[in-house]
Amino acid sequence: MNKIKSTLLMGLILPGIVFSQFYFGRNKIQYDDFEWQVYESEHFNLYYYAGEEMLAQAAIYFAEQAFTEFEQQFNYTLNRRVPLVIYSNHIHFQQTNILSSRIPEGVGGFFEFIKKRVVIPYNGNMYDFRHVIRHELIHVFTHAKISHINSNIGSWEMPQFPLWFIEGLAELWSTHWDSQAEMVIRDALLYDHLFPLNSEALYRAGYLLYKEGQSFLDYIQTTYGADCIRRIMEDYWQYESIEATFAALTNVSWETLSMDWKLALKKSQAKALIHESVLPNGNAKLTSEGTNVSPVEYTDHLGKRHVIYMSNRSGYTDILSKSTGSKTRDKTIIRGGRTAERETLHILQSGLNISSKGILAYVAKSGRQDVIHLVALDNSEDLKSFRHDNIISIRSPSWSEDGSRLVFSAQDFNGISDLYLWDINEKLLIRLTDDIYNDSDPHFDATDEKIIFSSDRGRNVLDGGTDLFILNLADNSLLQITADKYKNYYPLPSIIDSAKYYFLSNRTGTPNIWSLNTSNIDSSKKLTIEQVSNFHTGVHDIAFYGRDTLVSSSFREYSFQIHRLPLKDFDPGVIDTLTMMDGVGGSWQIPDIAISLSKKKKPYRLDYSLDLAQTAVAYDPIYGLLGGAQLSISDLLGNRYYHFLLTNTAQSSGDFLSRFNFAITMVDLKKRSNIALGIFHFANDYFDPYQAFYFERTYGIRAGINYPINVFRRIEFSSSLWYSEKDFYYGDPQTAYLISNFISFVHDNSLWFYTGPIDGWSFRATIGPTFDLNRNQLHNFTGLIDFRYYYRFYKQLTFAHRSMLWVNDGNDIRRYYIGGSWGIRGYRLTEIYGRKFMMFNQELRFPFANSLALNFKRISVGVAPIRGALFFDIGNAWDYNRPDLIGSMGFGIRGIFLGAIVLRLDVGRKTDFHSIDENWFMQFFFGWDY
Amino acid sequence: MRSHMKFSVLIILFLVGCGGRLKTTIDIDNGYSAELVTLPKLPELVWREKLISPVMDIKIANDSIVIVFTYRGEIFLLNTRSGDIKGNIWQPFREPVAAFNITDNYLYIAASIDEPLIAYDLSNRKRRWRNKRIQVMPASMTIIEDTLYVSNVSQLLALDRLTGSRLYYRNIENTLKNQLLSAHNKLIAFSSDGEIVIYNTSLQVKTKIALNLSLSVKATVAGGLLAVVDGSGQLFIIDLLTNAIVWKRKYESTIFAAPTIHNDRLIIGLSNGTIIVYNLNTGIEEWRYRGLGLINIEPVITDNEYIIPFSRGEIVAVDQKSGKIIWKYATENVIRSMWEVNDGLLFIDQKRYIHLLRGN
Repeated sequence: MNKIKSTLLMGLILPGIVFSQFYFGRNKIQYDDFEWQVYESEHFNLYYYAGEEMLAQAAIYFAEQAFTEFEQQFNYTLNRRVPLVIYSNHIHFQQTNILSSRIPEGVGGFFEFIKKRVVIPYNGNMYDFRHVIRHELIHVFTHAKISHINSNIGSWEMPQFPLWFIEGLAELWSTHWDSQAEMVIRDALLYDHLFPLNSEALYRAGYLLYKEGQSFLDYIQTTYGADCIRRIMEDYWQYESIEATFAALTNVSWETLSMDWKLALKKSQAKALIHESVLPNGNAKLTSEGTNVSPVEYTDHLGKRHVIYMSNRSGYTDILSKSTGSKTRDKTIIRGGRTAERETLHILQSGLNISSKGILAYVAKSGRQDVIHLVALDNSEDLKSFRHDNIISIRSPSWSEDGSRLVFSAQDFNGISDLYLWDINEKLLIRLTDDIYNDSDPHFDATDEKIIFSSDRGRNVLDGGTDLFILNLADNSLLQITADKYKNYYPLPSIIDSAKYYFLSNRTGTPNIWSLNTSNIDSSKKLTIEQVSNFHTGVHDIAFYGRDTLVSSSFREYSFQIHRLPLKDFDPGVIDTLTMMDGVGGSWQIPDIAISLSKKKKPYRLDYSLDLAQTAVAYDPIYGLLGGAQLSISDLLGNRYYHFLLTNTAQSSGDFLSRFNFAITMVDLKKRSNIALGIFHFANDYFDPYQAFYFERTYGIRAGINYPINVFRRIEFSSSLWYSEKDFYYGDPQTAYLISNFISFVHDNSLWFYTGPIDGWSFRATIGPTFDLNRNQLHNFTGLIDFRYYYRFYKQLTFAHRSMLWVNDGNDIRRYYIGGSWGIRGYRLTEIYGRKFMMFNQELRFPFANSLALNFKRISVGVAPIRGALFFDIGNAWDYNRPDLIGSMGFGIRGIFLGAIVLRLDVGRKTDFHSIDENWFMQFFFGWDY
Repeated sequence: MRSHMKFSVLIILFLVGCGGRLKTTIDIDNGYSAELVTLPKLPELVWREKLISPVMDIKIANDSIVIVFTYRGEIFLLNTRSGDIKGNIWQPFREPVAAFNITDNYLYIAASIDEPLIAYDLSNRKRRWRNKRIQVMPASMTIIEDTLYVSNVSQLLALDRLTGSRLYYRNIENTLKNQLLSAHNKLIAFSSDGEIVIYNTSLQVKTKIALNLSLSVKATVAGGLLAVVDGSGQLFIIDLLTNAIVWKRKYESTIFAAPTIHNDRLIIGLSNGTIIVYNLNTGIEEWRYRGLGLINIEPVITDNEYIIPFSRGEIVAVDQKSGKIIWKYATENVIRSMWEVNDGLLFIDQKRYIHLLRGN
C-alpha cells in the first residue's frame, strides 16, 4: 500500500524533478557505512548488509520463485545472474550510489539497465516487497528478451516499446488488479481523463500510465490470451509499430482495440455506478488543489474549529489549517521540505494526530531517521521531538485519550515493522509487537487500555490483504476481529460508542468506510459489519469532525481532496457477517531456503565494470566540475568511480607525444564525505582577448572533498598542485609551480518546475587563492558569491532574483564573461567581461502555454510546457575601474524540447540607464532558468 | 594511404562475399535423413565455434553439410565434421528470413519485410524465379508435389514450384497463424479464431475444426494423426481421416515446443520443464520427467533415447521406454536450438556458439 501510495504521490506532484549534486543541488548523504555481503543463489547475486538476513532470505525466496514463473511467461531464460541489491528501509535506499541522482520518496525500487541491477528497499510490508521484486524482475526479463531479439535482427529501425507497455506489463504480471488500480481507473473514467495510450498527456500522468497500461494489457490477456502479449514481444520486429503488431496478432485494428477496451471499462463502471455514489461537491469539499490527506479536527482556544491536514499544493509538503467556519485562506502551520529538521513529511504514508490538549503529533525525516514532532497548535510552539537509535522510519503516531502516550508503527534499522508505544511523561519506549508482520494504523480505544490496528498477520497467504486486531495492553493478548480475503485497515474508534469502530475496506472494489460493533458479537462469534460510504472512487483516510461527522481524504480527479461527510447523509449500506477468531489465525511464513545464507555468502568486493554514469564532487570557478563526465568504470554498488579522459591536440606528427591530454580521477562516494583524487596533463592552445593566442601545458594532481552538512547545505574543498608553462609564441615561456585551494559553502532548498526553480533559495560562496611556489607569491585570488531567491506569489507565478559577485586578482588573472542568455541578456557573451563583475537579474516567471507541437504521422515533436518571463538585468564587468551599470529588459519564453532540453527565446531592449536602446534584440539559446 | 587501400579492399571483399548468390555448389541429398542411431553414453564436445550472426534455423543438406540461415538474412554451409564454414556467406536479403523450404535442390526463401519470394536452384546456384506480389511477412510454406503453398496474414497461395506462377489464390478472413502443414494431399492451417482449417490442394475449405486454439500453435502430422499444442497449454490429437478429436489434454503450463511423434508415442514438453510421453493412440501417459528450466525445443530421437534440451543449459538423455535418465550434459549457456545430425548433436547457445556433441 505504501509503495502504491508513494507512487501516486510521485505522479501527482511534479514529475521529472531530480536534483543533482553539481553547482547547486541538494545532497545525497551516505549516513551509514554498510557492511555489504553477497549471496549467490541459482539466478541472483544478492547484495545485502548486516541486519538484513531475514530480508535477504525473503528476497531470494521471492526472486527465485518469480524467476521460474517469468521464465515461462516470457519463454525466455536469462543467461546470467541478476544483481539484486536490497535495503532494509527507504531511508537507506535513498543513500544508494547506484543512481547518482537523489531518489524521491515515491520511488519503490528501480531497474538500472546499463549494468542491469535491480535495487529495492523494504518498506515494512512483505507483500509490497514481493510485488516490487516481481515488478522489477519483469523489467529485467522484458529488457533481456527484447534486447536479444533486437540483437538477433540487428536493425535500428524496429519499433520501440512504449512506456505504457513496459510499465503496464510489469504491473500486470507482478500483482493482481487491486482496489488502488480500480480506484484510479474509475476516477479517470468518471472525471474524463482516461488518456489515449500513446498520448503525451499519459506520459506526464505518472501512476496513471502504469494503471492504464496494466488495464489495457489485462483486457488483451483476458480477450486474446496471455499468449498474445508474449507474441507481441516476439513478433514486433516484423511490423511498423507496436500498435500494428497488436492489430496483426488480434486481427483487430488498433483503434478498434482501444475502443473495445474503453467500452469494457465503461460497462463495468456503469454496472458499479448503479449502486454507488460520487463524492459530494459544494461546502462538503474542503480542498481543491494538489494532494490533501490526513485530516484531523482541532478546536482552538477561541472555540474555532479547524481541519488540520497535509498538502503538497505548493510543491513542498506542508501541514495546513483550514478554519471551517470562515472563508479565510488556509494557513500553513508546518513547512516541510525546506529545512534539515523537516526534510520530508511523508505525505500519503504517515498521518497526523492531535491530542485532547491540542498538541499535534507528526512525523518528519531529519537526517538518517524519522522524528516525531510535537507542536502546541494554540501558539505553534515546538514542544518536543522524539527519535530513537533503533528506529529509522515512523508512521502515523496516534495519541492516547489522556495525551500522555503515543502509539505508532515504525521500522527498526533491520527493516522490521512493528508497533511502539512512547510514554512521554515516563520517557519510555515500549515495543508492542516484534515479528515480521506489518502492523499499521494503530489507535487507542476510548479506555486507553487497548490498541486497535491493522496487520497482515493472521492470514495464511500473503495476498495484500490486512485485517483488524485489538491488542490488550494489560496482558499483551491479541484478538483478530476480521478474517476474510479483503483489505480491512485504518480502524478509527467511534467517539460516541466505545465498542464501535469505523474502518476502511475494499470489499466492494474500492476503499470505502465500514463500521463494526464489538458489542454485537453473538455466541457463535458472528460479527456484523456495515457499509457506511459507497463512493465509486475511494477513501484514503478518515477522522472524526465533531460527534456526527467524518472528514476524509478521498480520491477524485486524480488527486486526494478533503471532504466533510455527515454520518446522517449515508444511506444504510451492505451488511456483512464475519466470524471472529479465537485469538489470531495462522499466519503466512517465509520458508527457510534450502541453503542457509552463511554457506554461500561472501563479503562484497569492489568489482569494476564499464559505466556510462557521471558524477562530480566539487566545483571551482576556474576548472569547473571536479569528477568530470567522461566514460568511467565503477563498482556494482556505485561507491567508487574511476573517470578516464584521453585526447590529443597535436597539429603535426612531431607534437603527437607532447600534446596528449589525459586525466584520471578517482571518486569515492561510500561515506558521508565524498572525496576525489586525480592526476592530469593538458596541453592546449587557448585564446584570450587580452593575451591573444597562447599555448599552455599544465600537469599536476588534484583532490576534492565534499562534506554535506545536511540535505540542503554542504562544504566543498578542492586543492590542486600543478606545473604551468605558457608560451605566447614570443620570448621565453612563462613557467610556474602553482597551488590552488578553493573552499565553498553551498545552500539549496529551491523547488524546481520544468524550466527552473520557482520557490526556495540557493546560495554559493567560494573563495580560493592560488600561490606561485617558484616566486613565493600570490598568483591570483578568486572570490564568488551567488545568491538566488525565488518568491512565489501564486501557484506558478514566481519572482526570481539572482545576485552574483565575482572578484579575481593577482598576477595571472582570470576573466569572467557575463553577456548573453545566461547572464545579462541582450549582449553577446564576450561583450561584457572582466576580472570583476556584479550582476543582478530579476524575472517574473509565469505559465505561458501548454505546448507547441508538430504532429507527424508517427511522432510528435514540440516544446511543452512553455513558460514566460518578464526580465530586468543589471550589472557590468571590469578590470580596474568600475564602469557604469548597464542592463536590459524584456520578455522571454522557455520550453522543454523533447522532454529534456530547455530552449530559451528572449526579446528586449538594452539600456545604459541614461537611455534605452532603440533596437530590439532577440536571443535564442538553451539552458535552465537561473 | 595504405590503410585506406586496405579498407577499400575489405569493403570489396565484403560486398563480394555477401553478394547475390551462393558461390559454393551444394550437393543436396534428397533422400538423406540425419540418423543418430544411439547416444548411450555421455557425449563429448567435438568442436565449438562462434558464429557470425544469430542462427534462425538450419537445414541438413547431406551427411556432412548443413545449410545455416541467420536472422541477418545470411545463408552459408557448415561442415558438421569440422565446424568450418564451407564456401562463402551469401546474404540475399540483408533481412531476416521469414520462411524457407528446400525440395529437390530448390531453395524457396522469403525475407521478412519487403523482399519478394524467391526460388533458387542450389545445384547450379541460379535464381529460378521471384514473386514480388506476395507479402511474405509473416509467412509459412509447405510443398505438396509440385505446388508450393505459402500463407501470410491475409492470403493463402498455391504456386507452381518450378515456375513461380500462381495456381490458386485465397483471401483469408481470419488471419492464419504461422504454421502451414501438409499431409495426405491436404493443407492444414490455423485461423485466428482458434480453428484448424483443412484445405484441399485447390485451396477449397474441406473442413473446419473449432478448438479455441491460442495464438501460438505448434503441430505435427504423422500416421494420419495431427498433434496440436498451443500457448494456453492445450493438446489435441486429431484423426485426419475423420477429423475427430481422438484425445486431448489441458495443462496448467504453456507449451512452446512442437509435439513430437515417434512410432506410437507422443512426446510433449511443457514450459515448466516437464516432458510427458503418451501412447499416441490411447492418450495413456507412459512416463514423465521434469528438468530445470523451459522446454521450448523439440527433443532429438535416437533408437533408444529421447534427448531433451532444457533452456537453462542441460541436455538430458532418457530411456524411451522408462523415462530413466541415461546421461546429463551441462552447458555453460542457455540453449537456443538443437538438431540431430549424422555426426551427433548440434546445438546453439545464446552466445552464438554452435557445438557438436558426439558419442565416444
